[in-house]
Amino acid sequence: MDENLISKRELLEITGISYGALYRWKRKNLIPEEWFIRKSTFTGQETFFPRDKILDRIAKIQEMKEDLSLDDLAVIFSPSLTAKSLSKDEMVKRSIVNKSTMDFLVRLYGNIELFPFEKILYARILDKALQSGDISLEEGKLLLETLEEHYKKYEDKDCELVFLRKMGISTCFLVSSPCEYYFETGAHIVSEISIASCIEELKINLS
Amino acid sequence: MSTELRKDLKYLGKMTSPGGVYKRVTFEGEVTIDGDLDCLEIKVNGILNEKGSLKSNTGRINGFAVVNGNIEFDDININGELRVDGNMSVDKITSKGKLVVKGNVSSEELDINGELKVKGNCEAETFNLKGAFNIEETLNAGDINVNLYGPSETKEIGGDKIHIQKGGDNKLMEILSAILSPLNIYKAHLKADTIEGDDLYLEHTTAKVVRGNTVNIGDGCEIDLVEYKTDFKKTPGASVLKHVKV
Repeated sequence: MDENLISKRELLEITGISYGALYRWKRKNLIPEEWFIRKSTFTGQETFFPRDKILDRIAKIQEMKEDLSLDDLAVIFSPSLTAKSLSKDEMVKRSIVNKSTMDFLVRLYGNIELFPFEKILYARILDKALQSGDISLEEGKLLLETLEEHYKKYEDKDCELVFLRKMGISTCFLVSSPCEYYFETGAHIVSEISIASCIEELKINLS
Repeated sequence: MSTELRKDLKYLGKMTSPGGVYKRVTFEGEVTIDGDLDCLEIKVNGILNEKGSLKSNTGRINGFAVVNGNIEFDDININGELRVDGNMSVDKITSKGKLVVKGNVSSEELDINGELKVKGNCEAETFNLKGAFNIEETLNAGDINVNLYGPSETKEIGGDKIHIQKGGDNKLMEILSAILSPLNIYKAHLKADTIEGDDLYLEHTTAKVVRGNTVNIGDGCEIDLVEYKTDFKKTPGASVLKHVKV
């Protein structure tokens, strides 16, 4: 069995939630449909989930549901963009990007007064990749261009940004998530960033 | 569009209209709408053939309606038959008759006397049904209360409280036998792969797996496996191949 998956039964055991709660959260769109992976087992159909994602999500729901309604939570977890915008000083202040990433953005985009949500998102993804030291500034430009050109095509669906390098040549691309991909041995995955979790993080930061 | 700009629309007899945005819509007779219709209130007496999508706050259908697109209402009342090719998103559905949806149904409260057929998933906070249903994917509702009057089938049922019992009301049986095939009325039985909930009571149900906190299996059930947390009961008239406390 794939060790990255968790069965529904094990999930309920670990988290202590009931079937009723799980189905309710699914109805309220707190858990995306794509995470319900149905497989045939000897007892018939069984449902599995991507282990890390679902455990993380349920921990968050349990933690936040005291303060927020299920509908508010659904907004935070939904991968759709919001209408919020921020000034560049505010973005640095809220530590969405650090000062040097912002300087890089200003050099690239010119002086933008107000960043719309999608630009904040791209900036956050760039910042993540740069801060981890995985990619260089030049590669950061490539990353931004890819996002600018293609991210909108996913239309509220979850996707991942993958950064690849082979013999010093780098490339990056977007894939819908969950998705499995494999490469020839000479290529290395430098960075993998889940865009939905960046959005979620930003929505919590901005709320 | 603001409410003041909307106008009323009333058709009598056999008519065709391109659709549009209206306040109060009344159709009597046989009406075909070629485009989307957006209104605050709609009343159909007769036959409606909607080629686009239908959106309204409240609506009542007496007769027969086919909608090729989606349906979005706060409140809908069906006496007769409604067929939807797209998705149905309605807060409160009350249906006496037949409701057929090719997409998904998402609702707060579903009250059905008669037959429900859904190709996709059906979601509701409360699901009350007297009659028969066929949901090809999942029935996911907080409170499920079913009185079986005909053969019913779905892949998966999930919710807080799931109560399935055989309908016994003779008066209703008479009315329903007009909607459902009279042969079927004696085959009041539910078939499902999995049924999962917190508090379960089942009658006349065949399922592979039933999982819950408290599981009560009544007459006419054939269950392969029951997994329960706190409580398991079974009448002698039921067959459960295996039950385990987890």
